[in-house]
Amino acid sequence: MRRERSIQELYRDDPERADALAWGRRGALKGGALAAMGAALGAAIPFAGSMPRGLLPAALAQGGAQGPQYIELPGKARLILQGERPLNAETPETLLDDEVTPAEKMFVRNNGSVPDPVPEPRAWKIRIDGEVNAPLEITLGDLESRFEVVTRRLQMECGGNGRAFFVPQTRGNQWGNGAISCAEWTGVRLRDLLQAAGLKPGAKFTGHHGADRHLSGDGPAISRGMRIEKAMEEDTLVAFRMNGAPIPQIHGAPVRLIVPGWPGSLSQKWFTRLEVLDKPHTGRGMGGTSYRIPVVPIVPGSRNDGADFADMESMPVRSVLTNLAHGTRLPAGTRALDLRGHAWAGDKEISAVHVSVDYGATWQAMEVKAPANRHAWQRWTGRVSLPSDGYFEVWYRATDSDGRMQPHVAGNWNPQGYGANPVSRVAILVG
Amino acid sequence: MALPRLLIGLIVATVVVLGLHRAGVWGVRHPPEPYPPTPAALATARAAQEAAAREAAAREEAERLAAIAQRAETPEVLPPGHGREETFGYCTPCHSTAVIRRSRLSREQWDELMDWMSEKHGMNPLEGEMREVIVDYLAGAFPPAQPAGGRHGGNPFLTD
Ligand code: HEC
Repeated sequence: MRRERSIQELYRDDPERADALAWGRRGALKGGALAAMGAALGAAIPFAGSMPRGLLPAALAQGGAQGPQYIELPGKARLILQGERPLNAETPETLLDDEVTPAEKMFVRNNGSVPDPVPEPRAWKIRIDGEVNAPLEITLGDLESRFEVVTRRLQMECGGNGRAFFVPQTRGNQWGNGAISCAEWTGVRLRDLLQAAGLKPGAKFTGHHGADRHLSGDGPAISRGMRIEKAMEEDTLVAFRMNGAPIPQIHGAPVRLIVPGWPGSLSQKWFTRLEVLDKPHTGRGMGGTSYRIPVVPIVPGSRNDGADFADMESMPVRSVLTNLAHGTRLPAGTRALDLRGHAWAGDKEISAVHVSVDYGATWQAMEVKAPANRHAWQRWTGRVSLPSDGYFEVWYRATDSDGRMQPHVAGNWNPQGYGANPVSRVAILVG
Repeated sequence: MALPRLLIGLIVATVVVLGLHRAGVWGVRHPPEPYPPTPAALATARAAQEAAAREAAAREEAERLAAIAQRAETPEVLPPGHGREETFGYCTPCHSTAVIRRSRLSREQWDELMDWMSEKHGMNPLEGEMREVIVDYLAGAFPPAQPAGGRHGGNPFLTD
C-alpha cells in the first residue's frame, strides 16, 4: 500500500519528473529510464523487455494525480462520479461481476434533468406516429394486456463507453469500460407496436422522444433515431420492468426503449413517442459529430464538422475484468490468478477472450460461455500463471464473431470520442 | 282473559328486550361482522398501497437526486487564473463544473467547443473579448493531459 501511494505522490508532487520517468527523456522507455520507473513503482518489472515503447504503465496511466471520485446515489452502489449536473456515474469494472446487472450497479447517463415521477404509471401514454397507416396511442396499462410480454437479458451500453482511452483526450464523460450493463428487461417488442400501427412504404427511420428536459430548460434533453431495421428486430423492446421490478426513476420510469447493442442514447428513457420517418431523424444528438464516427479516418486532435461521418450503430467488441481490481496487491509467492469477467460485441457475439501478463508477448485463451440469449453479454473465465513476484499488468482482450479484436490502442479518433475499445490493462503488485 | 293477555304482553316484552340487546342498545356491544372482502377488493387495496409506497419512494429518490444536481458550487472549484470568475459565471447555468474540470483539451478544441455549445445546446454565442478571456482561461487551466507532442515531438500532420 505504501508503494502504491508513492506512485500517486510522485505524480502529485513532481508531475514533470513522473512524466519524464514514464515517457523517458527522449521518449522511449529503455534501460535506465525503465529502471527508474521500476524504482518509482517500488517493484521490479519482470517483463520490461516486452513492454511496448511509449505505452505508459497502467499504474501510472490510470488515476494520475488524483484517482477517480466516487458518488453514492440513493439506491445505488458506490459509482465513479462523472458529473452531478447532468448526473452521470460509471460502474467500476469490479462491480460488474453479476450475471444480471442489479439496478444499484447500473451506470447512470443523463443528458438533461431527471423528470419527476408520475403518480399513476399505468396511465402513462406513448404514441407511434409518422409514416404509419394508423397512429397508435396507448397507455402503459393497455400495452401490457394488448401485446405479448417478453423478458430478455440485454446489454445496454453508453455510446461513449471507453472514451477515456482516446489520445488526445476528447470532450464528454470520460468513461472507462464501465458504462455497460446487462439487466433483465421485460416489455413488449417495438415491432409489434409498429406492425399494429402499420408501416407505410416510406418507413425508413425512427425518431425517439422522452420526457427529460434540456439542461437549459429549453426543449427536450435528447432525441435520437435509427434505421427502421433495428426497430423491427426481435430484441428491441418497449420495456417497463427491469429485473422484475418497476424501472427506477433515474433509469427511465415508467417506460423506456431498450435498443440492445447500439449506443445507449437510442434507448430513450421516460419514453413518450416514436416517430416513423422517411429520412434520418434530426433531433438533438443527431448529425455533426454526435454519436457519429469517421468513415475515412481523420488526424487525431484535428477539427472536423462530422458531415462525412456515419452514425454509430452496433457497438464494438469490449471486455471487462470483474474479479481483480486495478492496483491490487497480492501476497508474495502468488503464482496463479483466477480471472473472470464479461465480454460483448454489439449485435455480434464473442468468439474468444485472451489474457496476457507479459505486455502482449504471449496470450492465453480464456473459456467463454454462450450468451443467455442474443444481445446478452458473455461470461469468460480462466487462469493465468505468473513467473515471479513483482509488478505485472493483466491485459485482457475479446474477439468478436467476425474475428475483430480489441486493438492495442484506441483508433479512429473523433472529436466527441466514440468507439474507443482498446485492450484493457490492470496493474497488480505481487509481494 | 287476563292470563293470555299477560302472556302475550310478556312475550312481546321479551322479544323487544332481546331485540334491543342484540341491536346493542344496552349490554355488551358486538360490532357487526364485516362482509368478507372479495379477492378483487383485496387486490385493489394492495395495489393502491403499493402504488402509494412506490410514489413516495420515487418522490424521495427524485428529491435526493435534485439535491445532488443542485449542489452549490463557487468559482473556487476552478483553478485560479485570469478569467476564472467570467468562466464560472458563463458556463454554469446549464451544468456543473464537473464537465469542464474533467476535460483536458487544446486551445483549439476549447475554442471549437464554444461553437458547439451555442449551435447544439443554446448557449448564448460567445464572441469578442469575453470569448478570448474564457478560452484562454480554459486552455491554461485544462490543457491536454499528455504532452501534445508525445515522444515524436508533435503530430506531423497537425500544422495549425
Ligand atoms: C445553454 C446551456 C449551456 C451553457 C451556458 C454551457 N453549456 Fe456546456 N454543455 C451543455 C450541454 C447540454 C452539454 C451536454 C451535456 C451532456 O450531454 O452530458 C454540455 C457539455 C459540455 C462539455 C462536455 C462536452 C461534451 O461533448 O459532452 C463541456 C466541456 C462544456 N459543456 C463546457 C462548457 C463551457 C466551458 C461553457 C462556458 C463557456 C459551457 N459549457 C456553457 C450546455 C451548456
